[in-house]
Amino acid sequence: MSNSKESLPPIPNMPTTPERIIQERGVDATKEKEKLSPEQLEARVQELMDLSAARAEASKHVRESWGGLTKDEREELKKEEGQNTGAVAAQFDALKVDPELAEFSENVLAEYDQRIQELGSNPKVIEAYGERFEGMKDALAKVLEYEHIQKELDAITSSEQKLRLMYEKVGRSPGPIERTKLTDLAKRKEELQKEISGFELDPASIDMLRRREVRGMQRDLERYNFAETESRTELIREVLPDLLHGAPILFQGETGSGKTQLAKYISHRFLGHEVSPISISEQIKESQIMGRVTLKEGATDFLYSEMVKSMKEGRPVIMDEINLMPHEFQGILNEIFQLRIGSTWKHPSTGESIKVAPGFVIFATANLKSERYKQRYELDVATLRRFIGGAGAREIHYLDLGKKSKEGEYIAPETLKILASVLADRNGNIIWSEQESPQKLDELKRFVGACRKIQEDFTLSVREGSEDSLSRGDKLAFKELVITLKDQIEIMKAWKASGFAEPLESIVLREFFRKAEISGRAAKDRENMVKVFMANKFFKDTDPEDFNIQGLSSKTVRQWQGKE
Amino acid sequence: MPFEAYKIYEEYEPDKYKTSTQKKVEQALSSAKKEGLIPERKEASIEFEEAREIFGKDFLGPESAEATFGVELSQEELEQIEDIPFSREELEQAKQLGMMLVLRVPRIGKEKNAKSFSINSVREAFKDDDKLGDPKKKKSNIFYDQDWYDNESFATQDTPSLGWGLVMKEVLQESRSKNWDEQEEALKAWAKENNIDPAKVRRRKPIEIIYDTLLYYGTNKESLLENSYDWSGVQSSGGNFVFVGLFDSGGLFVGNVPRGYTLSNLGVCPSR
Repeated sequence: MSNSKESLPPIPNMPTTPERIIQERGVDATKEKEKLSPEQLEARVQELMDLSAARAEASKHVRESWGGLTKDEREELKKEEGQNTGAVAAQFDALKVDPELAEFSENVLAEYDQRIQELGSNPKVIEAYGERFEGMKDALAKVLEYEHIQKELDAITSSEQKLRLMYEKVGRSPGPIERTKLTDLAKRKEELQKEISGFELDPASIDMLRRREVRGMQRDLERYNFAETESRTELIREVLPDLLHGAPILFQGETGSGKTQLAKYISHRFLGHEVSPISISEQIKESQIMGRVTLKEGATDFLYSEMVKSMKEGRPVIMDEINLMPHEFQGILNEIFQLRIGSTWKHPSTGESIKVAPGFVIFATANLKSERYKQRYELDVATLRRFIGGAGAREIHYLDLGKKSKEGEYIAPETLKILASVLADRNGNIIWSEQESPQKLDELKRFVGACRKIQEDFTLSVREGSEDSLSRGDKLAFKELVITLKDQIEIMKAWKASGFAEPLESIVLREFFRKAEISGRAAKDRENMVKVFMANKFFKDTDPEDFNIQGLSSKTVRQWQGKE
Repeated sequence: MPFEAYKIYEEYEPDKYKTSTQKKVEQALSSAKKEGLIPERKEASIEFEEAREIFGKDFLGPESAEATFGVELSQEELEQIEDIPFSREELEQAKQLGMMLVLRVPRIGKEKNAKSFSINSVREAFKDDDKLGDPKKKKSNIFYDQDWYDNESFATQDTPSLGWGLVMKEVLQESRSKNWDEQEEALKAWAKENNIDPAKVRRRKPIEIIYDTLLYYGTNKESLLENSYDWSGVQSSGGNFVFVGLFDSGGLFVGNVPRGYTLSNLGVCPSR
């Protein structure tokens, strides 16, 4: 447990990208003595900044496609190997890099280098660039210090929480030595809180902090397919201490609200293991939970299930759609749901006493279903109680569901935050020009507004079930199709890949409506979605045929578009 | 210049990071409050008459709204606006800074003829003649003859909310010849300079610019924004930011330009 102040290592002095390129390629003599006005100088420094940032991203992409190696490193390897075995060439062949794409990427990098060399050859430009870069390093040092204090504060808060829970669970008060330790923790926490509140941040550091936040979300999305936003962080903070003690948790919510992904993220990031899935269905057998007898070298042997193995080895498990499990079966699990780390459980078939290893925890998910199916899908009360007595039975809804501004307007800050990180490059920038950014931002907000409306109405459809009750007001009924955050992310990725040249509505049509064509299923849902998008100023001129929705006539679409 | 991704959601996290200057201002205000140097708002709410005394002709209250837009406030509405949500000190400072105190009402017309106060309804109400200004110096139109915004939602739907507002009568000098984002910085700098919480200073909506300008014109027979435009934070359907102004004899002009634009007479009036 952290209760001592740590210091940060200094930021190393590495050559900047232009310095490195000039070292490698030398100075371009034709550019060296060019006279520049202050405006020209500023423009060139800015271009050099942008190019250096973009080159780093392009270069990373190329390196990744070659197994992490740069062109020079690849050539060096080939040279070292000579004509001997051909193993290196075979290794590269196995990477299956498209030669056309590889050539394109290498040429692009060479062009970046050439332009950086041209710009960096002017000593005034490189000097001004260096000054700006040093300024950024100063801001970075400040930001790292701020983040460091914040991390230490988070760690101490979590330690305090964990200890409090431990004393609660064992039902005893801390002794004198423990009290001293707890007081030290509290003192350090107070110190850190003071440091954070007195920390001097300037606009440049705040800009960098925000960019790093975007980058952090990008990394999390790449690694965990999940990015934490405020509401999820809050939830994790609340449930984590119980989960660390092995108490089970149930996430209930609409389809695609991110329940499973949240469980996977918590397991991987905070419990240190990827979660093992336990498959659940109406036909589940006891052997899937306990294990089964098998033959091994002519003798019978007992093969433990994934659940039991995870319990022994200290890995988290996930039981998706636990409410599909027959009620009589849930009883078998109730004993397991009461186990905590360190408890001993006697296996009913083998009689083995199994000690629950640290790291074991059960995540369960349940889709919220409509009234019509409620009986069939409702969880056994006794089972539900096990979760409530554990880390909780928590409802996980779509991000920003029902969120409004002080002025009463619907807003989607957390969704926008995630989508912004998808649209941004590694430096936290989106390649929208100053002229086009208001229009692109408007497109994005209208898109998120439409998705939010679909999610709101879908949630209401699930809760209320009956279509008749939904025909009131401006609510639309959605029976099975909804546009999830994952769908929105995919649409954003496609938009970004088009260089934002394609209108967002074309991407929505291609990436969502076409992909959601499942032999006429959910035609009514897709029709309603078109309506919602049109209400958000999408598809004003889309050809009715392009929607390809069974039963949706061209005339109706044209009427919605106000053309008939 | 590329677009910073965090700008997409930054507005929803105004308190997440604060500069040291912002913190100092907050600390100073909080300790001043503790020491009783800044009275609580409840105690500080002042009577109409006191506000009228401070602002003189720049006090535009219920009488002005009735005389200009023919709107009568109900008893319930009068109760709602009874407390002016600014302290005496704030009002005195505002007057010093060249601001006016405006009561905004979301309607135009009396009783059966009352309509929601939208840009289009007010254009309709004043389309024939200048009924507001000095009869000897009539403008040829209250609104400059334009049709581009006929169907824009800011003209068809937006209405002012019932309540008091403090507004600078002229655009900030230091906001002219600046693009939209630079003006945001100018607004923040102005707030800090005057010890006002920057989060409380905002741009007006087009409907508010029109309401305030006409209310002042109707009450004092003087034109505000005669040679300048106030740039709003509202976007047109094309994504540009809408501005209103140049209230000369041809009438109020409503336009829109991209956020990167600069014009010597395109500025912003700080508003609270």
